[in-house]
Amino acid sequence: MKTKLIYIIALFLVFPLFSDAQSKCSDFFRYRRPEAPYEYNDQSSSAVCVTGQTYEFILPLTKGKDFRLKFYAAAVFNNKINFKIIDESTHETVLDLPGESPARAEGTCVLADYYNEDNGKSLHPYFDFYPATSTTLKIIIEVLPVPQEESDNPNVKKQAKMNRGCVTVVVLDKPSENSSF
Amino acid sequence: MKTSFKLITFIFAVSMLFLFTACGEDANNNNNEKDSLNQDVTEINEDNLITYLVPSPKDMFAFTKEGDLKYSANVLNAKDNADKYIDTKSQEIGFGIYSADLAYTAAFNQTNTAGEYLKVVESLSDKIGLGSVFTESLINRFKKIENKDSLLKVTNDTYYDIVKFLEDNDRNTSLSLISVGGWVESLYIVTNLQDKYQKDNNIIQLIADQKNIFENIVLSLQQREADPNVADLIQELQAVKTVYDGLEVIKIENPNVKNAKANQIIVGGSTKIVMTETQFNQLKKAMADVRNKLAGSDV
Repeated sequence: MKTKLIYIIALFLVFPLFSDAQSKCSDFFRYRRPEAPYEYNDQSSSAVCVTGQTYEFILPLTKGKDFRLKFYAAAVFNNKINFKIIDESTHETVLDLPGESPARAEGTCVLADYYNEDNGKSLHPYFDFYPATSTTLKIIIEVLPVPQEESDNPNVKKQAKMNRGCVTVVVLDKPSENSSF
Repeated sequence: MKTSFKLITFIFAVSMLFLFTACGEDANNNNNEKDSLNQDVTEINEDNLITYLVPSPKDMFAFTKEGDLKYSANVLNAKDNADKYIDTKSQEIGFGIYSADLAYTAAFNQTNTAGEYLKVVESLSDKIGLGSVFTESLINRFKKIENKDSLLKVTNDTYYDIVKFLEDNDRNTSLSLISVGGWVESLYIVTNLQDKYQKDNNIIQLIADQKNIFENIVLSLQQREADPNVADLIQELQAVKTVYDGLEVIKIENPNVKNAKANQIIVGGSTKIVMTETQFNQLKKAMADVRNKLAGSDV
C-alpha cells in the first residue's frame, strides 16, 4: 500500500515535466495515410509551431498527377491559423483562408470540419490541385498570436501567451486521368 | 524505505526546480512583455520556419514504369558496395541509394531482386539506428507478396515508416542525407534508362522538371550546412546544380488543362522548364559522376 502511494505521489510530481508533450508531432501521424483513390505522398510533413510565427512549406508538384492537400493543427491553437498558398510559377495566390470560418461551410475554411449534405457526414476540408505543368507551391501558415490579457492594475503590463503545438500538411496524389505519362 | 524516501526527495526537488523556473518566466513576462516575446522567439530555430519538401523515389518510378522505359538491372548499385560504407554519412546516403533501388525493382515487379535489395536496406538500417523499423511482421509481409501492387505497397510503407521514425526522433539531417541518396539514385537510373535525348518527350520533361525538386534539396541542405557532412554533400552536387541552374524557364500560352476537374485548383501552366540535348547529356554525366562517387566507397 505504502509503495503504491509512493508511486502515485511520484507520478503526480513528475507529471508537469511532461506537460509539453503536444510539441511532438507523433500524434499527428494518424492523419498521414492514403485515402482511396489517393495514395499517400511522402512530401507530407509536420512541424512544431508557436503562436505569432509564420511558417512556410515549399512543395514541388509534378505534372501528370492530381494532388490533394489537407491540414491539421493542434487543439491548443483553437484553429486560429491563416493559410495561404502561392503558385510560385505564376506568383498568384490560389488559396487564402482561415482555419475556421463562421459559416463552417465547404471551401470557407481549412481546419474546421463541415457538414456535407450529399452524404450526410462531417468532412475534414481538403483542396484538390491540378498542375498543368510542374510547379512549386509555397504554403504559408500564419499561427495567430493569442489575444493579450487585459489587466485593471496599471502596474501590470499586458501579458502575451505563447502556445506550442503541431501543424501537419498532408499531401495525397493519384495519377491524372488521361495523363500523357 | 530509505530508497523510496530518497526517490521522492529527488523527484520533489526536480519538480520544485521546474516549477520555480516556470514561475520565474511568468514574472519576467509581467515585467516586460517584449523581453518575454523575444525570449520565446529565440528558442525557435529560424531554419525551421521554412520546410523544403522532397518526394520519395517511388514518385519518379511511378511515371517511368508507365512509359517506354525498360527495366535494366545494370543500373542498380552493386549490393556489396554496402560493405564499404563505414561512416554514418556514407551509410545514410547509401541507405537512400538502396531504398531507391528497392523502389525501382518494385515498380518494375522484380520480386526476387527486390527481396535481395530489401536485405541490403535492412542490413544498413541496423547500422544507422533504423533497425526497429524492420520488424518481423514487415519481413513476413515481404515474404508473402503475391503481386506487383502488394510489392509496391510494402516498399512504400517501409519508406513511410522510416520517414516517420526519423521525424519522430528529430533526425532531420539523417532524413536529408537519405533523401539526397534516394533522389540521386532515382535520377541516375532514369537518365540511364532514357538513353538518348528526344524533343517533346515526357521522360525528358520529367527529368527537366526535377529542377524544382533539386532546388528544394539544395535549399534544405543549406539549412544544415553547418554540419561538415552536409557541406561536403552540397559541394558534391555542384555540377548537377550548374546544369539545373542553366535550364531555361519559358512562358507558355494556352496550357493543356482539359483534364482538370471543376473542383480542382489549376496551378502551373504559364511556364515550362526546357532542357536541350546538350544540357541533357551534361546532366547525365554529372548524375553519373555524383552517383558513382556517393555509391562507391569514396564518400
